[in-house]
Amino acid sequence: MEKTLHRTKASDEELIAKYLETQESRYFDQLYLKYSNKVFSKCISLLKNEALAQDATQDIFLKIFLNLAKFGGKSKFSTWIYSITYNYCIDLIRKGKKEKNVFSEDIEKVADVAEEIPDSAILEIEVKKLKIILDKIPVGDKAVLLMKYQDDMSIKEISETLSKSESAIKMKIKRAKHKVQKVYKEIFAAREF
Amino acid sequence: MKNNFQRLQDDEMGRVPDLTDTQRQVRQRIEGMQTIGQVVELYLTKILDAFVMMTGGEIDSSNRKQRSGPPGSINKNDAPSGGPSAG
Repeated sequence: MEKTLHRTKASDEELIAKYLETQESRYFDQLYLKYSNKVFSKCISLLKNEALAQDATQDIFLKIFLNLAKFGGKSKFSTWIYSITYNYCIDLIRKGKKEKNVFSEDIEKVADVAEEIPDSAILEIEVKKLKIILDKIPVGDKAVLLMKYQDDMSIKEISETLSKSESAIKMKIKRAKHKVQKVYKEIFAAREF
Repeated sequence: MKNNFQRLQDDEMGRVPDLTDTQRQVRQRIEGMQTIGQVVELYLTKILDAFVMMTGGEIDSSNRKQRSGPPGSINKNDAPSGGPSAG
């Protein structure tokens, strides 16, 4: 079993089981190497500060490893890690009062638009433009869009991560897409929509 | 095939700084906590016993046997003689 873990790529579940069984740091290292860059990139994307993102990455991994025994395997390990990451960053932003209520039922001007913007319209935005737009919309909206389109999380997984109902998440995503469209039009003109 | 959100993540990951120092710090914090946990596990029963004795209580020897530390505990006299199973 041990040799297999070294020779082939061990699954996350195998690494977790081995780490819990032995507490050996090499299993920790493998999981860390696999996910640290993604966790950091999410942190910096939401917190917009490299030092804060590094501290957050450290705290998040500590949290992950101290709670590793609680990972039940109901979702993918990556989804579990990203849930911890999003919640940590959102809490940090809340505490820092950078944004008073990240997931409030915001009374938005764009909110109650009946028509659904197709996913393709959002996914076709060029990477560079997408980065600019995502930095302009509220962090709560950015987070749900990243969960849905970057991490392929289902509505159910997002709702569990944020402790919101599925219908609230659907509405949040719909509004977030409208905000993306609005910012796109403001900055890059309306041609692509 | 990756969508543009995922490509954006790839782009951002290309600019991630060296995180080995963070890795070392996380590992140290975990090991520190594990050490504290082991120390507590080893000595807490003894401290509780001492406290009970100081306050005039009696230590239930059978209970003490159950609560004694894991293999490798410092005081061999306290270690259960008949294996780990309680009772």
